[in-house]
Amino acid sequence: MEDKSTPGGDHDGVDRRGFLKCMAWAGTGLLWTVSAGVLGCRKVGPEPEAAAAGAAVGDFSLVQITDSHIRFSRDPNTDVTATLQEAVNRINALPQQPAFVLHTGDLTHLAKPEEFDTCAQVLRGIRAGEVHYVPGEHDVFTDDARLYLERYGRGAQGKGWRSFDHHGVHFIGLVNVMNLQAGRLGAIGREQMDWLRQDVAGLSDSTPIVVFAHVPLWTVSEEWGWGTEDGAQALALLRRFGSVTVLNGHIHQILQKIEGNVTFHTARSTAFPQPVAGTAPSPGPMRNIPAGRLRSMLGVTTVAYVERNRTLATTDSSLE
Amino acid sequence: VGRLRQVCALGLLTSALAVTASGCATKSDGEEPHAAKPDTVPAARKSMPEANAGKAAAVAEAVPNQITIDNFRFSPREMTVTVGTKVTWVNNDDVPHTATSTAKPISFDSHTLDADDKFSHVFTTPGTYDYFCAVHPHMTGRIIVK
Repeated sequence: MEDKSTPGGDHDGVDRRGFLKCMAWAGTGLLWTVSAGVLGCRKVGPEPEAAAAGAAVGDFSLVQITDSHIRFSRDPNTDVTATLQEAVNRINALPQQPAFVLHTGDLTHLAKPEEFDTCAQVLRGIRAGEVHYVPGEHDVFTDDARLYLERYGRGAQGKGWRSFDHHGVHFIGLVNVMNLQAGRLGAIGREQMDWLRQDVAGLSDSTPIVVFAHVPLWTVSEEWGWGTEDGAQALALLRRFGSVTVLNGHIHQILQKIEGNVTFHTARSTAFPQPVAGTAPSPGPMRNIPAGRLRSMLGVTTVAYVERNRTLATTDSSLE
Repeated sequence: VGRLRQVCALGLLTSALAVTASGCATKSDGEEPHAAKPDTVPAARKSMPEANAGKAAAVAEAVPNQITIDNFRFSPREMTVTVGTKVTWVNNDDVPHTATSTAKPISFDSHTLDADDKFSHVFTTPGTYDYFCAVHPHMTGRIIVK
């Protein structure tokens, strides 16, 4: 798969206008397909029928959920357990049962035992394989991840990072919410970086890579702390791979970016939306959402993999 | 095609910057009339801006040695107190924050301050105490004890 490491031949099937159209849709929910330099997109409607129909089907699929913030009970969502349950219902209604689920952190709001309990109880209802977790800062800041690791640290390295393979795709769960330093962004740290270097050392360049981590690996907003201090260093270790998909949470909204072979994607929260960077006084929860609009701003992300051409397709669907 | 992607990426970056810039502009537009044009629109000034400014001023004046957390900011960001002063932090945001000293070993730590929670600490030794929010590390503050 030589062409995968040097994408951007003359036949990527997307002209300038088409690509810009994709960009214009960013933030409304869309389907990206990336494979051997072939890039395409189409919009996914907010209606359940359209979203279900738009969910990509492949040799296997997985679902990303994130930022369930169990305990939060203020404007705009006084029942985040109910919306997490709705996300689970949506997963169970998918036309193709996902192989597994990724939760990219902030399971809880304050990392209390009862919050972890509620989250686990709701997610137990998912009809799919295992749920793989990485923590968000809300899950670890009170006790240096003690409770989180007690429950979700099995099989993980260090403070919860991990990797596994599924149908030839290599999945890497990174933890970038530990040892946060004053005035700085999220951080991976040297120990985890060394592990990452070794983890991918034996893989061929054509192995599709999926990285999942809580805080975006690229800097979305320095002012709001939406980025990872040493994210570029981690991505440099993955530069030789033909296809890298990065799935993040933390910012409670969909954001897409393509850089070389790397597709960045952030998912909606199941609890509450946050504003676009720089458009509000703070990154806190969006309040005063018009009645009935909340569920259009929450959702889940489906990733489908087609083994024949090593395509990873990402679909976002809202809760309404 | 590599070039095309770069162009598109730049386009996205530019629009993101534009959004940021307009956000800032809106913010300073809102503050400017209040500070720079004291004689204009007296009726309008009485209502909204003054109510907000009044609230902030009242909090700062009525409760000495108190630091409020609003919109992911410690306010005032820097405070000078005398030895023996009890400083109190109040979280007015809807999300949890902390006031955690950056020095190791930690000289003070509020731990979780959920919405509306308060935390107090008595500073008994002169010095400069930098602190931050352990949940949102871009939030920083400083207490100077004399």
